[in-house]
Amino acid sequence: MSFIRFKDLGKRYGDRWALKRATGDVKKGEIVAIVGPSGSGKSTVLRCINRLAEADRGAVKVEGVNVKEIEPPILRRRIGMVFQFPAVFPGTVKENLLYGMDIWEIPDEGVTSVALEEVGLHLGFLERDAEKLSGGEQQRVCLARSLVIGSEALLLDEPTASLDNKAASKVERTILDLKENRELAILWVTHSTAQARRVADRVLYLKDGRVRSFAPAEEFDWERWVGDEAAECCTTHGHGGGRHE
Amino acid sequence: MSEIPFTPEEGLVRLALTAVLMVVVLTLAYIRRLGIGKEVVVSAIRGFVQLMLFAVILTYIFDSPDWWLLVWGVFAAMIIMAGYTSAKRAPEINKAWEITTPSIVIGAAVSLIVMASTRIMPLEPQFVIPLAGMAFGNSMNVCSLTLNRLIGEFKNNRQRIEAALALGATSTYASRTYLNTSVTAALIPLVDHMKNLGIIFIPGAMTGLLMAGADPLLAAEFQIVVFFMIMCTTILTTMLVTHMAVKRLFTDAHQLVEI
Ligand SMILES: Nc1ncnc2c1ncn2[C@@H]1O[C@H](COP(=O)(O)OP(=O)(O)OP(=O)(O)O)[C@@H](O)[C@H]1O
Ligand SMILES: [Mg+2]
Repeated sequence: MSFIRFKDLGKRYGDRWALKRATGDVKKGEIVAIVGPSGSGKSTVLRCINRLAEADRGAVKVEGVNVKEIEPPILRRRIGMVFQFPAVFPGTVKENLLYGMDIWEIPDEGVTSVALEEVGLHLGFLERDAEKLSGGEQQRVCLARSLVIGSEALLLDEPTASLDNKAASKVERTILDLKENRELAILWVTHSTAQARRVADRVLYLKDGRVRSFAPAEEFDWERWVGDEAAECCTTHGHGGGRHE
Repeated sequence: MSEIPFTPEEGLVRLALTAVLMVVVLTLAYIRRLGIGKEVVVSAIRGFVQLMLFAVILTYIFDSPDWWLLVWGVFAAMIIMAGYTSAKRAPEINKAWEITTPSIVIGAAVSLIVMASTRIMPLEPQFVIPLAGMAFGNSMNVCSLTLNRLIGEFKNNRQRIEAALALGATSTYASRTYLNTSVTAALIPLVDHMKNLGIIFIPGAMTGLLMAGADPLLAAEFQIVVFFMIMCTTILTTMLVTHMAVKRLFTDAHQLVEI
């Protein structure tokens, strides 16, 4: 059964619909990659799911319960979110992890060290200044911050886009492990077709605020939907006048 | 009590003499191209006109047997101006005067009521109006400083605030650090001022009383009362305005509003 299911989701800014109609779902232990051009509404979908933004139409259900009937903090505890630019809080890594645990009155008892290990950081990091870590390390802290409060799902908004290749592939690996070990339901926005191909169990393609295709990765028509981008990722443009979008 | 040893008409002549000094200094500033000339001239003229007008109104009120009625008009004007001036510092918040005005009024009213009921503030217009002015004025300053800083903090920390919300923080919890920073920053000037009382500054009320020939000990007592009042007023105001501003910066569903 799907953990998160959204139906006909729409969001309006002013009189412009940023997201028109989006329907999809994600199960526990599954990664759904959300791909599509810039401005197609990928981030908006995620933000409507944990209600950082309010949908103007449609509905989101978590285990069958409409999110409007759940207190937003409780909803957000269950569904963690990681942003493109790591948003660590000032202070040590430990303080970052304790932020959510204090809210939810979770005693430490090894919770922080387990989570830290799961995201691939050793215990020595606990006392480090979070703002002085590398981007990849910060992103791991952000992941761990959700784990320590027991998130059952993750909304990832281009979590590796701000990282260099090496850090990106490590964080990618970490997320794949989390999916397996924690049975998390993961919605993963990525602009990298190559990444989507590597990580996705299912792929949701958004364009102009509509879902154009939603299919298991092996059935998804990469050529048709992201053909240009797929080509772009695998060829090098030797001469000037590069193309964009 | 000794009086200031000249009449208002003689005073105007002396005022003109000091204005000459200002012209000299401003000319200097102009020659050095400091670029402050215009603003200083405008504010000097504005200040002159406003204060003279105020003095005329005060004269009228002091002489009127119905002064306790007229005082309410003065209060109303002070409140509207203060709420509006402070709100201008927060253009990002829609109808900010709706939160600045009550914060200023409540903050100031509490200490004015305490001072009036204990008769620390004698119920005479000579006391009521200047003290109310001090309460409203300081309250307004702190209100502006608080809001200005709070909005700055929110703009700079949008990501972090949303990250906190995404962990299940309520809007109050997620904004706590930024509220504290803003409140502290807004109160720093006053706290520093109070620390140095009698060392660097001889504050306004005491200056006034001394010049009017009051006993220095009494003048000091009075000044301390005034300072305590200002502290209470401003702390109340800053707490109220942050509390109300947070309601405008988030929705009921703990979502950050765009500013
Ligand atoms: N707060 C906002 N106010 C107004 N318009 C917005 C706001 N947030 C997003 N939009 C608009 O909504 C549309 C979808 O935005 P969204 O951020 O969901 O796109 P995206 O698919 O995540 O793009 P990208 O790949 O560049 O991150 C865009 O046209 C964007 O300009
Ligand atoms: Mg986006």
